[in-house]
Amino acid sequence: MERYQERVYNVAFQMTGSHEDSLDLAQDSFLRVFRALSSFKGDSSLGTWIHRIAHNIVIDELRKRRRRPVVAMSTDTVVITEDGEHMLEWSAPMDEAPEEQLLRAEKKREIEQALQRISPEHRSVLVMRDIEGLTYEEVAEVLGLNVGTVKSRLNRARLALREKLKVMEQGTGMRRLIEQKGG
Amino acid sequence: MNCTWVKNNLCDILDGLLPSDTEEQYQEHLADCAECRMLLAEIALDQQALTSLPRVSPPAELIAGVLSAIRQPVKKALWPFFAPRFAPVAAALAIMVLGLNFWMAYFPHPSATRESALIETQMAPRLFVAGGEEPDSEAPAATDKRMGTASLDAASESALPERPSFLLVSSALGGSIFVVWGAIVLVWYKRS
Repeated sequence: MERYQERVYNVAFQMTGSHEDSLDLAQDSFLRVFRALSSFKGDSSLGTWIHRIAHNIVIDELRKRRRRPVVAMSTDTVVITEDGEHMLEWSAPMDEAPEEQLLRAEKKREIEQALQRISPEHRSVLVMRDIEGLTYEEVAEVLGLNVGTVKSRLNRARLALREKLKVMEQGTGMRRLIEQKGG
Repeated sequence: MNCTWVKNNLCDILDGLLPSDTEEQYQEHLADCAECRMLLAEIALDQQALTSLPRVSPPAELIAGVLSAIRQPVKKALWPFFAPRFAPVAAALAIMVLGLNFWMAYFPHPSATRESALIETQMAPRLFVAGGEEPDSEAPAATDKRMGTASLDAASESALPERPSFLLVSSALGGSIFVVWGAIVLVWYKRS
């Protein structure tokens, strides 16, 4: 369990954007894994199997929420370490200029928010492929799809994310313009 | 090659997996299309930003919570276990009830047949009266007498065996099948 807890927790966190929900979903996932362990046939790797269970639990939860919408929480960078302390996970390079650090932090915030605004199906492929670094074959195995379908879904997910980011960037640009005129 | 093709092949483009002949056509299109150049540059940046999102550390209570949940005795839910196992019994009962219905409808009891024949005979004079002929003054009394004789003919009734009612038969059969099957499933459940 220790070996896979980070992976499962990160999947839940990137999908929900909330540490509290991620904890519950990761616990549910491991409980399901524990109870279904006898049915694991070894057709895929244990990691992929656990990932599939976690993914299904998260998607089920997100579908339930879609039926009763909740206000999306901001995905800030505060995380709880194993010692129970809160710390900032974001680590900008030490030699980076403050402006670059600011831009990078802003881009990160925007991309996290945009990720929460696209559909769970699109979000899950982006999380698996780009954040978790799974191969197309592994993503296909987790989702029970073929590689062609996964690529096709990824293409649509990238375009959907870009659309959301474009809207957000336009909003940010407008805000800056207003701030400049006001200042 | 057009913009739609580019949008439908983003994965292969970003991974640099286009076959050489397609790559040439793609580069030609890209040289002419500022929109696609812009889109690909933006999507490449998005991908880079996604890849560099920090990983979060799970809290310590994750494992503790799972372990404590595992240690708690699991209450077996009865209904999900029983429901699929009772389905065949329910189906059997339904078939049996339908079968009994047909049996009752197509093979009526002999006593019922006899009674209906008697009733037909007794109704005949009344129908005759309804037809407009003057009834014999003694006829109603005679008819009543015949009816009474027929319906209360205890000797002839007792000669025919009494058939139990449909409801009684179906309840007894259905109930006993259900109880036996329930006992089997219960033993099975306890052992599993």
